[in-house]
Amino acid sequence: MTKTRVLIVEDEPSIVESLSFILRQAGFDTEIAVDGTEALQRLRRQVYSALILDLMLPGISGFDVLRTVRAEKALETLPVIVLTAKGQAADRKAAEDIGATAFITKPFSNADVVAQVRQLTGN
Amino acid sequence: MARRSNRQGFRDAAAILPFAAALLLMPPLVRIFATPSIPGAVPPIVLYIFAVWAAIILVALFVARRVGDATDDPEDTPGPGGT
Amino acid sequence: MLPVNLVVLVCLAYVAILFGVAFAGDRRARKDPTGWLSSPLVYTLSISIYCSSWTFFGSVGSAAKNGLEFLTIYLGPTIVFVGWWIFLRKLVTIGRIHHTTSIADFISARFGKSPALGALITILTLVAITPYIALQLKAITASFQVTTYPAGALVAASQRLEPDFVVAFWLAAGLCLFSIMFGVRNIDVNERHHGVIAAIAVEALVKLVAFLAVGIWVFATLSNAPDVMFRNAPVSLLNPEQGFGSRWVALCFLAGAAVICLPRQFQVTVVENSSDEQIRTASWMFPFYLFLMNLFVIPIAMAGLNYLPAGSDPDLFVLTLPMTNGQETIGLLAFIGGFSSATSMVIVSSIALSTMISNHIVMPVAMRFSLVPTGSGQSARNFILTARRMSIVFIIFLGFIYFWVSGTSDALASIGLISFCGLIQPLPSLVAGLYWQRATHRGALAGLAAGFLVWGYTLFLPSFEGAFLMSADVIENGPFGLTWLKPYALFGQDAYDPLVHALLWSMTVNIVLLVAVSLWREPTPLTRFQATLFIDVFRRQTERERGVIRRTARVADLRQIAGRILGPEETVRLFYLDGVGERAVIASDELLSLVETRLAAHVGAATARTLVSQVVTSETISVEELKRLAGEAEQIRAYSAELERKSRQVEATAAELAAANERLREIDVQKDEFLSQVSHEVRTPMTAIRSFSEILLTNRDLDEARKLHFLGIIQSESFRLTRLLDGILDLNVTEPGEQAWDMTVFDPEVAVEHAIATCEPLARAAGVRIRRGRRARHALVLGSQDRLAQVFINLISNAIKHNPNANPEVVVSSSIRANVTYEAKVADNGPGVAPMDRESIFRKFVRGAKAQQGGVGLGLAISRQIAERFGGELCIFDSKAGGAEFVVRLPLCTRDGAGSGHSTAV
Repeated sequence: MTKTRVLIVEDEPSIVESLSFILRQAGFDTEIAVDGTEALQRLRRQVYSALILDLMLPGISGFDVLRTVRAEKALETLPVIVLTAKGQAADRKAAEDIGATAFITKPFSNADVVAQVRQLTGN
Repeated sequence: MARRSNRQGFRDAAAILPFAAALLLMPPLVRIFATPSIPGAVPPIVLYIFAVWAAIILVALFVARRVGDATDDPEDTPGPGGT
Repeated sequence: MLPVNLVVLVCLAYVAILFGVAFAGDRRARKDPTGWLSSPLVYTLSISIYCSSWTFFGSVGSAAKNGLEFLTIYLGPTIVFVGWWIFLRKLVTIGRIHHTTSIADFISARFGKSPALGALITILTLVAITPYIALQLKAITASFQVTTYPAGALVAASQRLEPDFVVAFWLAAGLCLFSIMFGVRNIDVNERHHGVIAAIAVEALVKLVAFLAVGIWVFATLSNAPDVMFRNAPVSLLNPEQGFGSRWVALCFLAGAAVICLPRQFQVTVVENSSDEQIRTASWMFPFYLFLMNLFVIPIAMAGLNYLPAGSDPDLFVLTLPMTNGQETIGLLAFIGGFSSATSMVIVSSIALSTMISNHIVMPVAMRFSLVPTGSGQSARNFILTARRMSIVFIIFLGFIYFWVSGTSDALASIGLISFCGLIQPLPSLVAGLYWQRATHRGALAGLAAGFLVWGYTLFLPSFEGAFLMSADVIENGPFGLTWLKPYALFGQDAYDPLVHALLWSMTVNIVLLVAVSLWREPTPLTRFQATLFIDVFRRQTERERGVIRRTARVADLRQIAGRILGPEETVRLFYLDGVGERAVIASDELLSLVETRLAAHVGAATARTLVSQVVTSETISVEELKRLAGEAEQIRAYSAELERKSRQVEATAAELAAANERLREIDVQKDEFLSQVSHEVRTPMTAIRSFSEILLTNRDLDEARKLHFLGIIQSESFRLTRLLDGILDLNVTEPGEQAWDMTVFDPEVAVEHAIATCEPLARAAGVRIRRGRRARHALVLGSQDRLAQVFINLISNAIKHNPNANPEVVVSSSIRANVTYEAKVADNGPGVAPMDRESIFRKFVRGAKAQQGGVGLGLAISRQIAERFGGELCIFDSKAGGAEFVVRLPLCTRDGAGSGHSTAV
C-alpha cells in the first residue's frame, strides 16, 4: 500500500523535524521544502495529498506560494494547511481568501495537526 | 496666498531700499572707495558713487513696477476725508 | 560775446513759448482733466524744479572747488524718493485726500487746524527763502552779463562784475507777471495749476537738454580721456577721504529733508499730485533725472580747470567753456538752461508762498479785523486773489531787494545750503504728524520756533559776516564776551563745520522741544481727531468716525459763507444738487463738513475752520467718543499685528503637529510590527518545545538516542527563547530614559579579544576562520565593557552565520583615528549587504534577505543602540573582500573619564 504523501514547507529545522516525526508516526510519507522555491519545484514534480505551509518563509512568502498553487490547474484542489506564528485574525482571513483549506496556529497540538491532515486526505 | 506673500516681499523690498541706499552711500562704507589717486586717472570714488547711484535707480524702477502691479488691495484704498 | 539784442530776443521768444505752453496746458486741462498733463512723466519733470540755477551753474563750481560734495545735494533726494513707500506715499496720499494747499496748511491741519502754526511756518519760510530767490536773480543776471560782455565771456568771468540791477529788475517784473497770470487764476489751490506745471515740465526738459549738450560737447572735444580729464583735478577729488565725514552725512540729510520741505517741492510733489501712480513713477524717474543732470558735472569742471586760466569763476564754467571755444550756440543754449532753472524755481516758489501768505497771514488777519468784504458773491474771491497777487510781487521783489543790498558781497554764494537748513525746520513736525499720535500743536510750535531761532543765530545771521544785525565781534567772541554762546561754537562745540554745527543744534533743539512739549500737555480734541485721520490714512474711515464732531448752523448762514469764497456756481452745486435742499433750516454735520472741506481747498484748513465757526451756533466734540475711536484704532492695529503673529505661530505649530503625528504614526506602525515580530519569534521556539514535549509524552517507548535528541532540541529552543527575551530586555535598556549602566573607562581591545574568544567555537563549527588585523594600542573609551563585548560578539557571530563563501573568513581590526576616535572593523567575505538594505538591517527583527541561521534580528539594532549610548556609532560598508564590513566608532577618553578631544595627545 502506498502511503499518503504530505509536503511540509517550513524553514525552522526543529519544527520540520517534529512535524515529520508525528506525521510519519501517523502513517504519512513526508517530504520537506525549506523555502517557497523548493516547495513549488517539488509540487510540480510530484503529486502530494496535502501541503503544510508556513506563512513566514525566507524569500517567496507563504502567501505567494499559496497563490501560485491555486493558480495552477493541477494543484487547484490540493488541500493546504497553513501554519502561522502570528495567529492574527487578519492573517487567517487573508490566507482563507486565497484558498487555504485549514489554518493551524503555532504552537500547535500534535494531535490537532494529525487530525487535520487525516481529515483532509480522507485517511 | 502665494500672490499675497509675493506682494509682501516687494513691499518689504520697497521699505528696505532707502536704508540699503543710505548704507552704501554713507561712511563708513563709502570711505572704502575714497582712496587717493594720481592726477590723470579716474578716482575710484567717482566710479563707485555713480555705479551705486545707477544701481539704486534700477532697483527702484524694478520695485516700483512690481509694487505697482499689486496695489489693487482694498486695504490700500484710502478712506474719505473728515472735516 | 553774443549781441545783447540777440540774447534778449531769445529770452523773450523762450518766455513767449512758455506762455504758449502754459496757456495751452490750462485749456487742455479744462477739457480733459485726466489727460497727459496728469501723467507721471509731467509730474516727475515738475518735481525737477529741485534743480535750480544753483544746480545748473553751482554744481560745476562746487565740483571744481570741493570735489564730490555737490553730489550730496542729489543723493539725499534719491534716497528719499526711492524710499517713497515708507514716507512720501503717506504724505502725498494725505495731501490729496485732505486737499492740502501748502506745507504750512498741512502741518496746521494736522495739529488741530492751528492758525498760529500756519502763520509761523509761513513767516519762517519767507525769511529763509528770500535769499534763495535772490540767488536765482543773481545767477540769471550774472549769466546774462557774461554772455553779452563786450570783451568776451572769459574776461567777464575772471573779474568781479558789478551786477546789473536793471536786468535784475526787469527779470523780477517778468517773473511776477508770469506767476500771476498762470499761478493765481483761480483761488482753489487744489484745482491744480496745469498751465504752470506744463510750462515747468518744458523748462525741466530744456535745462536737462542744455546741460547734457554742454556736457557731451565737453566730453567729446575737451576731456575725452581720463589722463586728460583729471590732469589738474583738485586735491579734494584726488584725495577724497576728508570729504566723507560728518559734513557729507549732514548734507545728504539736509538735501533729503529739503526735497520734502521746500515750499516749491511740497507744492509740486504733494499739492499738485493727483494719483498714486505719479509718485510711484517719480520714485525712480526723479532720481534718474538727477543722475543725468550730474553725469557731466565732473568732466565740465575738470575741463574748466584744464582749459580756462586760473582765477576764472568756476560757477560760470558751464557758460564760459563753450563761449571761449567759439561754440556760441552751445553757450546760448547753456544760458537758456540756466535761465530755465532759475525762472521755474522762482515761479513755483512764489506761487506756493503766495498761497501760504494769503491763507495763513492775510486771511486770518483780515477776518479778525473784519476786512474781508461781505458784499456781492465775487468780492471775497477778488479779495483773496488780490492778496495772492500782491504776495507774489512782494516775495519776488523782496528777493530783488535782498540781491540789491547784498549783491556785491560774497554772502550769496553759500546761501543755498544756509537757506535749506532754515527751510527744513518743519521736518520734525511733519514726520511726527504722520507717525506719532501724541504730537500736539504746542509741541510743533515750540520745536519749530526754537529750531528756527537756533538756525538764525548759528548760521543765518553770522553768514552776513557782521553786516546785518549781528556784529563781527559777536561772531568772533560771542555776545557780551560769553564764549560758550559763540554762534559757530555753541557750548564750545567747535569741531564741526558751521553748517553741520547749525544743523545738529537746530534739529536737536527742534526735536527735543517737540517731544517734550507734546508729552507735557494733552492734545486738544481736534488735534487728536486730525491725528487719527492723518496717521490712519490707509485705513478705511467709517461714517461714525466722521460723526465725532457735532455742529449745527443755519443753512442760510452757511450758504452765504460758501458763496463768498466758492462763488455762486459751486455753491449752488454744493447746496442744491447734493439734495441737502431748501427744506432744511439747520445744516447737518455732513453738510458742514462738506462745506468746510471745500473751503479748505481754497483758503486752507485753519481759515476754513474759522470761517465755518463764525456761523456755527453750537459745537460739541465728543471727547469720549474720540478717545474711544483713537483707542479702538490703536487696539485694531495691535490686534491685527497680534493676529498676524499668532497665525504665523499657528502655522508653525500645525507643521510641528503634522510632523509629530507622522512620527507617531510611524512609531505606531513600528510598534505593531515589533509586537507581531515578537509574537512570531516567541511562538517559533515555543512550537518546537510544545511539539517535542508532546512527542515525548505520547511516545514513552522511544529509544534513548531519539529521546535525548528531542530533549536536546527542547533545551536549545528554550535557550533560544531566553536569548530572545534577554534581547527584548536589552532593547528596553538601551532605549533612552531607562536605567543607567555602570559606565567605566576601559580598553576596548579587551572587549574585542573577549568577543573573539567567545565566537571561536561557533567559528570552528561553521568552518570559518577568524583573523586578527591591525590593533589599536592604548585606546581608552568610556562605557560598559560587557556591553561592548556583546556588540562585537553580535557582529562576529553574524559574520560567521551569514557567510556561504567556500572559504569563509572574518577579519577583525582596530585603529585610532585623528587621536580622538577608536575604530574597530569586522569584515567578512560573504555576499555583503545591498546598499538599499543597509539602513534597514539596523531596525529591529530585520534579517538579511538570505539569512536563515539563528539570530532573532535584534542583534544589530541593539548593537547600534549600545554604540550610540557610548557616544559612538555603528555603520556598515563594503569590505575589501567583497562582503560586509561593520565599523564601530567610539570617542576616546582619558583615564579620569574626561571627554575625548585632546586626551591622547597628553
